[in-house]
Formats: sequence, structure tokens, C-alpha cells
Amino acid sequence: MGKKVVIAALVLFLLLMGILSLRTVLNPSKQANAQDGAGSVGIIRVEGTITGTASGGWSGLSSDADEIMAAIREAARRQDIKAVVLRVNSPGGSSVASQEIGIELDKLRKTGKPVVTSMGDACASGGYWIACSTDHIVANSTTLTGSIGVIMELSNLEGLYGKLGIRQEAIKSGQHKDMGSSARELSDEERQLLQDMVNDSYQQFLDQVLAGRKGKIDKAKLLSIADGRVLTGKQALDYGLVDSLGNYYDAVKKAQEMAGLNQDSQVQELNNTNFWDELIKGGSLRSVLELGSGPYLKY
Amino acid sequence: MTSTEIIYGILFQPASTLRGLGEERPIAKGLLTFFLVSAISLLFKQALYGLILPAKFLDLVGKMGWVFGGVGLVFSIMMLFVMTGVSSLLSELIFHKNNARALLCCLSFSVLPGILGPPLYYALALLGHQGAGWFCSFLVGVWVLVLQVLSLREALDLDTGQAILLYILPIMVMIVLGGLAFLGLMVTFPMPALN
Repeated sequence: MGKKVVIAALVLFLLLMGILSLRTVLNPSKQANAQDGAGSVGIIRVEGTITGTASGGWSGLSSDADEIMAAIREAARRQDIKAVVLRVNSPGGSSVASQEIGIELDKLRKTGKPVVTSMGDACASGGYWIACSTDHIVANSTTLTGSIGVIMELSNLEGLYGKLGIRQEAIKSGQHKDMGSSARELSDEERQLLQDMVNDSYQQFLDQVLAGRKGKIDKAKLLSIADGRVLTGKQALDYGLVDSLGNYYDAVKKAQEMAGLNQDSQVQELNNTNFWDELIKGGSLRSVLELGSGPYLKY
Repeated sequence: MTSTEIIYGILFQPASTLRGLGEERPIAKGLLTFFLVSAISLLFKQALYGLILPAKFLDLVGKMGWVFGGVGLVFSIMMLFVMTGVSSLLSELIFHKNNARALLCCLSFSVLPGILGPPLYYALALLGHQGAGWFCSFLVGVWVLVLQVLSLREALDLDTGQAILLYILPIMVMIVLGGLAFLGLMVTFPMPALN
């Protein structure tokens, strides 16, 4: 009887600790945070091409807008996160995904929490769109940034299909329903329609930069460089596209200063997915199927 | 022996229990115990890292901790067989006594108290006594070490001194070989000089 009681107590202890440890394993950052209680700087990483869906997995080749937005919302919700550093190392990506992230960043800033962008190797196009929705932009002097413009790329494979003996038939409800099809050349009217779309998106990009960099760059100056050109961080500083030069730690320090935190305050990664998330995301069939599906606007 | 008797015996009456296990030799049950203890410890260690490591390491631990832990689990199972084999061989060579099946069984069960180390550390860390947690974990480690020596003694029918010698001999040999390899490397490695 005594033996059974001892074993039962042991099993009970292990079960209790097992449940508690599972909580920590499933969300280590929150658990760690519960230990300190003090104000922290949240780090949100935007790495690789910005997409509307997860496709990078372990390779880390893309940033999923949903995941980034979830991290931004977490930063807004959590009381202990007093400031956010957006670490961007991206050449751009989907215009919609960039806009969605930008909108969420604007909401975060409305809560009074300062957001600082730290540019890595590149923070261009869609990456720069996102940066414009932050309070302060720190770039390295050789960071590649700018590339303010919109592009839509279509492939005309009509000749190839002909050689392969493939003839695609389109049964459509309207004359432009198969606009952008790879099986035929664009008509002039279709080309103009798509050009109008690109122009409209471009105008939205200009508006975003002018709103985000208000008082730091005027429209004439912006138009002189908003032709898709890439700039170094130093050049961008001269044009007023960024606020200061420095590395990641300078950006963290700036965020701490803006939030009134001391320099010993904790820095937490907010979009660090756990091992199982990465594994599942990396093998997602959905992400493979959605890669390169149809023409879309890119910043 | 029932499972309850084995667990209770290993914890509170280790010598007689290991002797009994060496005679009964429930190898499958022993290996299952070893695997379960290692796997459960891995879960607790992962949770412990999430609690005691600085936040900047959590990303790495979240991604790689399970991978390293899994590799460590496989490695520990391999090491169990290596330890059994080496100890059996040395016992045969030195003391002319050998019982590999009993030794494998006893060594498998000897890790049982090890299941307490990480959860105790975790529980004390949760209460803010991380140092005490580490110390408890260390004591459990010593406990397992003592049980491994007892396993050698009971499974191979040695006296305590012989069992200790058998336990430390491979470690000493490894240290000597490692030292010699290091010396050899230092002698043959072309060292840049500033003079």
C-alpha cells in the first residue's frame, strides 16, 4: 500500500509539472515574459519576399503577412511591450501583403507605442512601404532601399505552346476575363487597363511615402527618385527617406529611448515560430501551390 | 517483479532490486523505461530552457532544441549499449565475469531517478529558486551515477571497489587518449610565431 502511495505521488508530481512545462514549451516567449514583468521592446522580423501566405518554412525565404500582422497585434495587446522594432530585410513583395502589414502598424502606433524600423541588407519597395508606417527609420549606410515603384510581370508563352502543340481555349463571360493569360498576347486596351492599375498602385505608394515621411521629404523630391531606383542607406538619408544611420542595436536603443525604457530592458522576438510551426509550414502543400499563381502587383 | 515494485525498489531499495532485475532480466521493459525517462526528460528540459534562458535565445531553442534533444535521445540509447558492451568486455578481461544481458537491463533501469531531475529543477525555477533547482538536478545526477555503479556491481557480481574501477576505467582511458591526441595535435600543428 505504502509503495503505491509513493508511486502515485511521484506520478502526480510528474503530471503536474508536465502540464506546466507543456505551457512553457508551447509559448516560451510569453512564459519568459511572465518572469520579468518589466517593459520590453518587441522585435518583429520581416525577412525575404513579403507574401500573403507562408511559403518559406525553414529556409526563411519569405515573410507571411498573416504571421507578421499577428505579431503586431500581439505587440499592441501586450501591456509589457512598450515599443517595437521592425527588423526588415526584404526586397519587397506582394502589394496587398505590404499594405496589410502597413495598416496594422498604423493601428499599433495609434496605441501610443513607438515603432522603429531597422533596415538590414535590403529594405526596398514593399519593405520600404512597411517602413513608412513606422515612427523612425534606421538604415545601415550600405542598406539597399528605395525602389519606390510598382511592377506587374506577365509571360506570353503563346509561341512555346504552339511548338508543343498546346492550344488553350477560354470560355469567358467578358472580353477581359482572361486578361493576362499566358496563351495570348495582350491587346492594347488590356495593356492600358493593366497600366492604369499599376499607375493607381504607384500613386498609392507615393501617398504612403508622403504620409509616412511627412515633413521629411516633399513631393517634388520624392518624384525625382520614385522611378524604381535603388538607393543606399546613406543616399536615402540625404533624400529624407530614412531618419538615421545605424545598426540593429541602434534601432533598439532608439526604440527604448522613445518608449522611455532603460537600456537594460528586455528585448523579445515576437514572431519566433516554434519548431512544430516551422515544420508544418515548411511542408505546406498550400504554400507550394500558391507560389507564382497568376499575375499580381508587386512593390 | 511488478512495475510498482521495480519503481519503488529502484528509488528506495536499489541494491536488492537491481540484483533481482539482474536475475529476471526484463530487457524490453528496461529499454522502454530508459526511452520513456529520456523522452520525458527532454520535454522538461525544453520547458526549462524556455523558463531560464534569456529571451534572445528562445528563438534558437524553439527551433533547434527539439532537434538537438532528439539527436541526444538517440545518442543516449546508443551510449547505453556502448556502455554495456564496454563494461562487459572489461569485466570479462579483468575480473573474468560477464553478464551483458543483466547489465543492459540494470543500466536501463538505473536511469529511473533521472526523471525527477528536470521537473524538480523546473518546479524550483518556477518558484524563483533556480540555484536550488540546479543543485537538486545535480543531486539526481549523482544518484543515477551511484545506481549505475550499483548496476555494475549487482549485474556482474563484483564487489563495490571493482564496480567503481570498472565504471571509471573507460572514462580514464578516454581522458588519457584525449590528452595524448591533444598533445600530438599541438606538436604537429604549425604554430604561427611573432618573434
